[in-house]
Amino acid sequence: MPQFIKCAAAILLLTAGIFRPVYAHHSTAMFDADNPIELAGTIKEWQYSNPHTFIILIVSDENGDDTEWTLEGRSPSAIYRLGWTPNSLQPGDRIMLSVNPLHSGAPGGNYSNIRWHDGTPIDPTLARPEQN
Amino acid sequence: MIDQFRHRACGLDSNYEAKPRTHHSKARHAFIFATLLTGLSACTAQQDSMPTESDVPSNNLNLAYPDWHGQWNRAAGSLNWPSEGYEQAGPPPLTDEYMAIWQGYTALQEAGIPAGDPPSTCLPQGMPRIMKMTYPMEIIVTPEITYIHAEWNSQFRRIYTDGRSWPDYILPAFNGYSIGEWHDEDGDGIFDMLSVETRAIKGPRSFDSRAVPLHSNDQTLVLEEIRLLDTMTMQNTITTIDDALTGPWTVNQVYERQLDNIIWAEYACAENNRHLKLGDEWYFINEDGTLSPTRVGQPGLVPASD
Repeated sequence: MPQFIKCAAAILLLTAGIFRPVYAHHSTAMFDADNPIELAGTIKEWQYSNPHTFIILIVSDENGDDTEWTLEGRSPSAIYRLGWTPNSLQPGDRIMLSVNPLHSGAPGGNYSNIRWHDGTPIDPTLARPEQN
Repeated sequence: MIDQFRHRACGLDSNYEAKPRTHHSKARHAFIFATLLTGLSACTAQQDSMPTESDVPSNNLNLAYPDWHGQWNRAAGSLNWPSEGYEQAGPPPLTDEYMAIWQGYTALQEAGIPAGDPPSTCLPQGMPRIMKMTYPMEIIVTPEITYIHAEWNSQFRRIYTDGRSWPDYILPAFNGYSIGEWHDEDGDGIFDMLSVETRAIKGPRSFDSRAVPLHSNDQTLVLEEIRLLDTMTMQNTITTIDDALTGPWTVNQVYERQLDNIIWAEYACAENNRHLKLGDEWYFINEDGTLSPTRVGQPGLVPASD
């Protein structure tokens, strides 16, 4: 098998758990899976906690006004074995992600498909890029 | 339905033998049938007083116990109670009353309210749902007790195989009270199947996050047959008997073994659960402590400040 295919397969495997839509161990009814949105912003905090990890993300609109989003991710039990640790993300990191928002429209939701700000998929087993 | 079973003889208790037995296929099916018929009997008047771990008789077993060490992960498949999912398996065998309850939960979930799913508030998933093993499990076999540690919610099951009888009274627990029996199905001198009966299961519970309900009377009885399909694959045939069901509901849950580079993670649900249930309303806890509404038309809440 060509090396690049092996690498691609490995990255796919390592990141599959965080790329795929969130199939949680409990109901995700409060999140609107039928109307996902894309968010780009700066991490205020990465909470590596149970029952879910959370990203507190600052999102600026076109007027420069900031909104703080509370975004639920998969549990440490689901992502630790894929290489994600409390150090995988850090305050100040600029990222993009797909979000199933709260049905109410409040700035919260659960996320998947997390990427660096340039669109590169985040592989927690690789070194962090110098400019995030 | 459960009362119907309970009017029968106190079969499993009176027939229970601590000594090992070998079972071939037909005998195993007979065992399952007999257990289904008799296993629900409460028969509390005939029970011995509650044993303690120090005074139960020890087994006099001559067969070897199986090697089930390692980490067991749920095999790929749906998180619905049947691993093939309801779309393929068909709807759950609920009574009309509980089908209506489930449909009500489904409507609420579609509106953004996680109704009918107790683990959303960090309650244990309980039996039989814990055996879905959304996260891995470890099985520790000793002659008297087989322990099952589930990473999800750091839950523990204790399956007594010391020949004890059912206690007069069992304090209900989410994982219930389990008595098991080892079997040597292929007659090679090594136990290879653990049958388990679990009673006294506390609620509220659901089969899965789709909120398929169990009856609110918490009279569920769960029968399991746990065996290896090969050295790296385990199957648990789980039969649930519950008044919310039209009959016994059997599913097969498969687990895959990991022996190298095993990683365990802690799961303490109360650490940072942002799903908050107040009465019948659900809120999402923001980082600043305010509560976001979760459905359209629901007011947000801001805790009073000093």
